[in-house]
Amino acid sequence: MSTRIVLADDHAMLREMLAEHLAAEPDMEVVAVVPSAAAALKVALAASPDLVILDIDMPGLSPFHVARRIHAERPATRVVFLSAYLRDHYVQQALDASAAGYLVKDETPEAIVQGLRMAARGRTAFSPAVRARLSIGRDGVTFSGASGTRLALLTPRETETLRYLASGLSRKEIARTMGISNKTVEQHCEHLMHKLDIHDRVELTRFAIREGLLEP
Amino acid sequence: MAKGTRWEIPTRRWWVAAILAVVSMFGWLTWHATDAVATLDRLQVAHANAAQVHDSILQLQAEVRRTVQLALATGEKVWVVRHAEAERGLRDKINDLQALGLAESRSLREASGALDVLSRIEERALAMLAEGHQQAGLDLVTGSGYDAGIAALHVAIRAFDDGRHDWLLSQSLGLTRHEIFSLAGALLLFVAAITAWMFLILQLQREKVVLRGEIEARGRAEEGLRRAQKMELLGQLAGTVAHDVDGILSAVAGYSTLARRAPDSAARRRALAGLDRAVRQGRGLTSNLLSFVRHEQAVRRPVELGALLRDTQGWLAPLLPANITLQLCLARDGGSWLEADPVSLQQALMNLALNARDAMPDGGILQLSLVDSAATAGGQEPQQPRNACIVVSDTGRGMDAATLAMAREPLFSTKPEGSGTGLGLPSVERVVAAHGGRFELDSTPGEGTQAKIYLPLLAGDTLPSASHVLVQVFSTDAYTARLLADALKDKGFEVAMADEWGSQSPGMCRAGLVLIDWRGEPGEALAALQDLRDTGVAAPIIILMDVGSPSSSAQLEDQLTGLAWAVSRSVPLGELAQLACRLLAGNETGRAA
Repeated sequence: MSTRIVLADDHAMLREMLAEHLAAEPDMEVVAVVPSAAAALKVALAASPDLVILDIDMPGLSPFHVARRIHAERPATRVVFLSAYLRDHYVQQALDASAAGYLVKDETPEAIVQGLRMAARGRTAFSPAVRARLSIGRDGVTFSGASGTRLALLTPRETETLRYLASGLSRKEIARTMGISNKTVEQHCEHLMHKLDIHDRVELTRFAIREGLLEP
Repeated sequence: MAKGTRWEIPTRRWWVAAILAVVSMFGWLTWHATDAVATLDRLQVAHANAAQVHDSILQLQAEVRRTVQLALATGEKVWVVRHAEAERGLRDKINDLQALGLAESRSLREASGALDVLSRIEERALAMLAEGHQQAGLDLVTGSGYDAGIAALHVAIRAFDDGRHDWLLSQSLGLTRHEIFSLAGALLLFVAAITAWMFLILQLQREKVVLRGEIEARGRAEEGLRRAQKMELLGQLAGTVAHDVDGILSAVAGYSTLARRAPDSAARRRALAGLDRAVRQGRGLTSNLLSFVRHEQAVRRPVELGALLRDTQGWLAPLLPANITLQLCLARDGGSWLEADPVSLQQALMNLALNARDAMPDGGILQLSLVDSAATAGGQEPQQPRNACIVVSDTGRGMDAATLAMAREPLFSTKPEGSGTGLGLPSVERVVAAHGGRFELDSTPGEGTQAKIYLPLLAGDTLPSASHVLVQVFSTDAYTARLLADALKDKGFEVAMADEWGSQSPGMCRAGLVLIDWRGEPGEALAALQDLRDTGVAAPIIILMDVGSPSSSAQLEDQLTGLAWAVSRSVPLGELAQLACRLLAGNETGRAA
């Protein structure tokens, strides 16, 4: 059974080109090609397609609003955003709308088609560059535009251990200071070294100084 | 500066004039007050003296007259003696006053003359008394002659007194005149000080106006300069864009030709793929331009340098003539990751490669290499992040030292008129600097040129192969589970997803790694993990939870350490996936050991 797709883009040439690409795929069927988000919503609610592809820069009704409506009223229909730009606030709004994907138009048509196929099969269709910066919050998924520091991987106890380790305390002294067993200190050290991918005490000290955990 | 000096001098003069006028005025008034006090003292003393002299003269005059009359009337010797004393006293007083050299000495001389007349009459009267003619002597001292003498003496003394009084009056008037002059002088100085102050204020206002004018003129000049710089920047930007677009259009033209001349469908597909890449590169370029216009940072993402170089090789191939051999040399393939904007980085490489092509009109070898920075730069500082070095080298004509020194200057080009913009290398330099890297250029005339780009790699740049390793993902939220799974699949992992917690999950027995999205209370995670370990699950477990939250104590973290790798929810999925890679690499190393 082929994936039924509704495609919304205000750029006629792009819309037609993509529709042709999708129509050429044996497992895809384009049921409607529309120029606005409002029209996409209308068709989606009427035809219950498997996939709705929404361009972001369309006049009229917000495509994010449309995505939320579709998610609420047709949970089986998956929405993928397709945009020329990779912008933080766009990605975040797409995540807030529980979009199945956010693809950038400068990817190859093959990659876009493959992303849509994955979205249709229940996977997500985010570009790897986007996915690498997503983080899983308790209340939803968030997108961080800047790449964070590896320090974020450490738990507060591991950070504390790193600070003591970098300041020159022996593991026994750390155990005494933190009030835990030597074995637990060993485990904290092993974890923080693996998380930071730094296995040398001198480098750990440099890292701690660089991250402001320790005065040079 | 000259203007400033011109304005400073008058101001300083007016300041000095005003201060001098004020100081003079106070000096003048002080002197006047001191002088007035001294004059007043002198006048008081003179008044007292004059009064005393006046009184004593009148007393002596009356005594002279009284004693002579009594002497003649009584005939007693004692009155004669007293008369003589009184007369001597009066004469001494007049002599003393004359000795002072006062202005009224004429009156004193007249008084002295009158006294002489009186003395002669008295002597005659006393002689008559001595001869027994008492009545005749008495007549002499009570007669009109004696009265006339007394009157003359009185007039003289009165004249002296009047003269003295007039002198004292003139002294008082003199004091008053001094006061008037002093006050007038002080007033003049006061007016001078006020005038100086007014001129000073006027001068300051004039200076303020001039200064404001200068500030406005400078502001206008700076604004003009900024506008000129902006225009210059815009011009450079336009030049760079034109240069880059030109490169892309060349590629489009090259691939179009290849597609048109392709002997078979496979070659045509390859050419069309190249055409597609060129179009995407152009789109990336316009996207970066739009970001620039909108003051946004170009989107950076993890880029593998080996792949980037291979991509560039694909780009370059149709743009090189047959007599140039393109070589790609990767010291390590697949292991050099960095955060980069691939469009601008590739554009920089293309600029260098096309320069190399143009430097070899007679053919040669164009080599794209990726080498360890340590091998090229002679070692790295250990505290520096690891660097990769991309080398674009050619065997062309090279550059002499003077040309090499100028090569990075904007608009400098050794290419024939119309074929070079002189913006390629500055553009490369800008792109490399924007990536936190360093750009070096070496050249030897006749041997060729080497352009080296040093770029900082991501800390965990070498990502281990994760193929065929199964990761079991637990999450009660399907959307989150899919995202986690896809992030791991991006790294090559196989992923099994489950929303039901338990060791009975299908993938659990052969999972190399377990990833748990824990949404329960942190305290409950401990028991759950212990259960999992008790069922024989030995694979590393990463547990995503709210570490550091109020409900997660340090003690809980310590206890979790022995069971799993606790990671905060705020960690980006990319970092999480890399941690998974490192844990599995560590496991493999451990197994190998």
